[in-house]
Amino acid sequence: MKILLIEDDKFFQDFYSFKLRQQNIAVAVASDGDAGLQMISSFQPDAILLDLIMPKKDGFEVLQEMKKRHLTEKIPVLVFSTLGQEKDIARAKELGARDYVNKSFFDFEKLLGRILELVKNRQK
Amino acid sequence: MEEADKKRYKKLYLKTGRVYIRDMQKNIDALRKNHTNTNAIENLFLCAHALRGQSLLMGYTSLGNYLESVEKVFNARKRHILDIDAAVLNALEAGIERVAAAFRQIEVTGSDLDFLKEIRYLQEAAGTKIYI
Repeated sequence: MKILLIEDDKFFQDFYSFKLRQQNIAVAVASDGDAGLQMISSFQPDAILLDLIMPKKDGFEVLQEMKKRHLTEKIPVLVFSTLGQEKDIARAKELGARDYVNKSFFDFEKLLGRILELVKNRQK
Repeated sequence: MEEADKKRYKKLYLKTGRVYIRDMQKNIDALRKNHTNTNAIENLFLCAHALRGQSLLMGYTSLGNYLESVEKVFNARKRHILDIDAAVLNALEAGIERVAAAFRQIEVTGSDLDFLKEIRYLQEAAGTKIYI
């Protein structure tokens, strides 16, 4: 399985990519929205973990761009949020994101479960 | 977060966090010169947001809660419902100083400081608009 992590923060990049790789998941990391959009075609992920608040191109712009290219249907996006962003999460879902997890409250089983479910539903 | 992960990531947390603290202090200085500096406002919002997330993940709840208040202040400013004045900047400066002190304590003892006083101080300076 291949996951693209679009996240600007070095700490979260390291932490979550290490945890996912421990599960034999291939992980590519993009530090901003522009790099993330470019990596979608080269890396061809099974699912995307997307931070919403980033400098340059933020998560909403990434979702809008993916929608234009009809990629949100093909590649499921899991929003990687922090608590207190409920309005943002609702907006992200309107733009095509499938689900969300709170990245500040680590529950790896839950995160893995959500990723597996998204990938499984995509394959149906 | 499990203890093993906390041990493994403490060094990276302190390293990346200190960069955010320095950036926040620099941008508060920029706001003292110009209260409407949009770059400084955006940077402070992003720094507080990132450091809040990291701190909560590491289990430093009090520190994370304080940074959430800072994030709310700049989110309110970005939405033009709050003006950043000298009182808000004074509260922020004192709070960020306390964040730096918390980092020194985390490095030595592994636990953070209490931020109730700083949260109250910032809320008093910014008012209730940050909750809108």
